[in-house]
Amino acid sequence: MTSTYSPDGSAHSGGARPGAARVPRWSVLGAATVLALGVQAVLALWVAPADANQGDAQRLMYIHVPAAWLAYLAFTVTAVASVLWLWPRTRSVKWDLVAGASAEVGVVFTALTLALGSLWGRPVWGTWWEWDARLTTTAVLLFLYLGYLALRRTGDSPDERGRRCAIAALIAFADVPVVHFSVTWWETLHQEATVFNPKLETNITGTMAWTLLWSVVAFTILYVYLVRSRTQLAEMQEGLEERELANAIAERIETGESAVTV
Amino acid sequence: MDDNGGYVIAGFALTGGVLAAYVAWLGVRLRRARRSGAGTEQPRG
Amino acid sequence: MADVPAAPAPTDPGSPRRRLRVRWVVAALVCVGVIVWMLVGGLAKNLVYLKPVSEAVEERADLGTRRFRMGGTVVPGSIVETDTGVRFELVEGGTTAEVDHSGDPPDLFEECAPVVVEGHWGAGAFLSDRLLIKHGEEYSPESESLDDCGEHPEGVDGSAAATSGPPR
Repeated sequence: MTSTYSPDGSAHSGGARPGAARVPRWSVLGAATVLALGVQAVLALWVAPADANQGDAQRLMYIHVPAAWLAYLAFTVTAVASVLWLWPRTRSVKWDLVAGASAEVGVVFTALTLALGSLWGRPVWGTWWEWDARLTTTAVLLFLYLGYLALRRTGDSPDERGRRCAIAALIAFADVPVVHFSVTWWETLHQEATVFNPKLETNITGTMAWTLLWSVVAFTILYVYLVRSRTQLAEMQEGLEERELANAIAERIETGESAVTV
Repeated sequence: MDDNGGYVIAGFALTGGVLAAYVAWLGVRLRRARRSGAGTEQPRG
Repeated sequence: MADVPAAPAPTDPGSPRRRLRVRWVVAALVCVGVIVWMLVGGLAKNLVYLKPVSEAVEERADLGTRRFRMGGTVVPGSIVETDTGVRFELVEGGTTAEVDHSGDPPDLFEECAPVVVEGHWGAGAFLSDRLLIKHGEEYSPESESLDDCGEHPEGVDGSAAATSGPPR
């Protein structure tokens, strides 16, 4: 834990840790990510057989589905981290930063899911976009978390920001199950889930299934890598902001100026 | 690849591009934060 | 709450910090606006994305020439090319409807394909100008036999198996 919560509203960093000196040793994770994704591309583009009905277009599934899975995973982590921040016994600035980092990664993958779905829908459905329940609730998910990310930047003390964002994250998270079950609850153009459907019937087998599984695992490793580096960045920025604020206050007290330059 | 190969290639290229761009942006922000942190870092608390 | 003067910077009107803050508040509000627009303009109208053939036929009188989407499975042997597009029969829940579609159908349009047509009821048939394929959630390198549409698990409303073919 690099940061601790202090009741005076100014979270402070413990010692000099989140600063510049430490160069992270994440190269192993980075290499694993690159390798896993490289194998993923080979499996998805060459090894897996083409679908009898859709032909090669179905290969988009091997990135569309893992991207959607990552969006779910990222927003779930954001929600859990927000709860951990809200719960007094586990409250730590760290959880707020993890929540923000995971949400940013989630937004990237939600946008990617929508774009890939569009590229898949055009040849297979015959449309780039339809306002059906699955597509619309996914688009809503994107804007919920874009709003959340904007909210994170609206200033205030880490304490105030933490509370406001944690509550917003929990509200936004309500859309995640709605997105997943939209295909079951309403008539949609989008098909039902291939694996996590109500009957839990796996409608994919053999090499196709293994390719999908590998893709999901590879994307999950990628997620860990991205959230780890994004959280580290957030810790550094948090440290910088605190120093900036402290400097600005010191300057203010010294000179009595009313404007603060950032 | 059949007639729809273009969509598949576009999808994989888009994914690679987005990931590369995001990782690069992360790197830029990390370096910037590290640079502005360097030298001014004071042990506090 | 804070005993240090942490607040002055963001509350100073015109300070860069405050301007930045206002910008992000506006961004958050824009996101909320987009969400409301999507829910009201997009989802509310399309929560019932399609009517299965049986419903569309049943409500034909009430529907008049109103535009809606109809979903069903293409009847084998019913596809006829016309000057403007294709004519075919759509089946669902034991009910069949004639569809006159103008425009090129998508690549995956074929016998037994689960499709969605958009248009309105005309004199003899459903006049469609938009044809979408509603594919299933099953993937396999081996093609299924086409002489039995009941084998298609995704009969738009999931009940196509009841119209033909043995229950799975």
